[in-house]
Amino acid sequence: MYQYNWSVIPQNMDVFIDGALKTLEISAIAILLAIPIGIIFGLGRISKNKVILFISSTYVEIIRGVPLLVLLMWIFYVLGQVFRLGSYWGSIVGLAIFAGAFIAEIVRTGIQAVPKGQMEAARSLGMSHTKAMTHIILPQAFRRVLPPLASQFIMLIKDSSLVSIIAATDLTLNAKNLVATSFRSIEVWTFVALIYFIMTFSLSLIIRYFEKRLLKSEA
Amino acid sequence: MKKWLAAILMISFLVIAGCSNDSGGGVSTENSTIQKVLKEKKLVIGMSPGYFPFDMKDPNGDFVGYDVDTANALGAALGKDIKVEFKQFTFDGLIPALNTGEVDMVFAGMTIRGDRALAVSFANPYFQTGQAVMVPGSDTTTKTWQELDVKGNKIAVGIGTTGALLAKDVFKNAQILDFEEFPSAAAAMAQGEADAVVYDEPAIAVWKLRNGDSIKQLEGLISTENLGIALKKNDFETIQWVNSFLDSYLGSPTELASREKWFETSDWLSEVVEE
Repeated sequence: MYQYNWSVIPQNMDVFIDGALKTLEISAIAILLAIPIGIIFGLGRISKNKVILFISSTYVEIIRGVPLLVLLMWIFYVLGQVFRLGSYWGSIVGLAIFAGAFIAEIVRTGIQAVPKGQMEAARSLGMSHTKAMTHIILPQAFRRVLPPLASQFIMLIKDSSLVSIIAATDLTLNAKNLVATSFRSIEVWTFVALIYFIMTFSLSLIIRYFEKRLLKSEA
Repeated sequence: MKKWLAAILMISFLVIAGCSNDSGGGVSTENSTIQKVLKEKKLVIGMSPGYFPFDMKDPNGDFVGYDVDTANALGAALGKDIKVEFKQFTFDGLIPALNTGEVDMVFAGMTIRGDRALAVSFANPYFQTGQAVMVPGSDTTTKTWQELDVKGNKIAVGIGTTGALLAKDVFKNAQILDFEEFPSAAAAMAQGEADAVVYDEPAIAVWKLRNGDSIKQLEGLISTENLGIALKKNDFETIQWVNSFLDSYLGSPTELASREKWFETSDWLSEVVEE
């Protein structure tokens, strides 16, 4: 029978905290990179320019069709042949590219959700397409995009648990090493699941608070 | 709603905690793995392919290697109708799998260590080796592992292996990179992500056979180690039986042939896959 010994948790609290901070760090940098990527390709998806449309659609479809694990391996072992990023930056770039594709879709649907009447009214007022986009359409799209964008960040934190496969230090890798040296798999993995939950749940509470404030400001 | 959630969580925790069992002293054969295997006519072996030439897989997905030969011989010694089944894990997942009963025995070229022996029981050693260091063939200057211990260098190891534990202990300035198993670590070194790999000597020796001059094995072993079969903790009947089996198997013609095939020739190299 498995002998429980929960003392491994408080004895290694620094390992858990270090891992959690590293996970948040990697996820935060990745999402900051993913947002501009998503905006560019999201706009590209609704571009009138056939070339831009093709490139953006291809990017989004391919990245959404490849599992994140495989993408990370590809960046590390395949791209690494010509352009070495290392474990840390390879993870961040991989996560950013991955999230960027999903954010592109969020941006696209956000823009397309703005009523058509807005663009028609703007154009009839004499605004150019670009001016209409920047002053009328995009600001409205922005508010629609924030909630799904926030959940994308939360998803990224969970997805980041895969980066240990390319030797990047994060909460999951620290957990694996701790299990390997202490053999306390049940205790460690239960606690790690709890940490991930605390991180994502706290974030979702914060986001909900800001969403409420955003709704108030719109009324 | 929230009260129900809290209640469910509390109950689950209590159930899990309650499942822990303080089995006192005394030897019993009730939980004996051997009895279970004889009854079910099936022996499940936990293995982590990637440790050449002990644990590998061929292109059909079958497990091959020195450990596989030993495990098959062990199953045959238990009974002609015992079916030997192999399950694949990452190296650091093997001991947890043994402890939860997912596998009956672990054959993984596993080094016998005091801390591991607190979690599992080992049969007598069946092989003696040590940790070696591998560098790229392009590295013509490094002669000893100590020279590698400079800031900025990256040493690739396998999670949970004695190589990882040793590297983290002796390398003070270089950075240690953890990989799931040996081939990933070797691939990382091949493309410059790591400057060296620390792993059991046989794996590196075989890798050299396979890759020729693109890699170099540094002279000497950093440590000496005994390899053993991992069994469920304090499962005395099984430990005793496996030791008797090893006494009969090691040095026998079958074992000598297996040892010669996997360690002294390399014809089989073309028939295994890198995991």
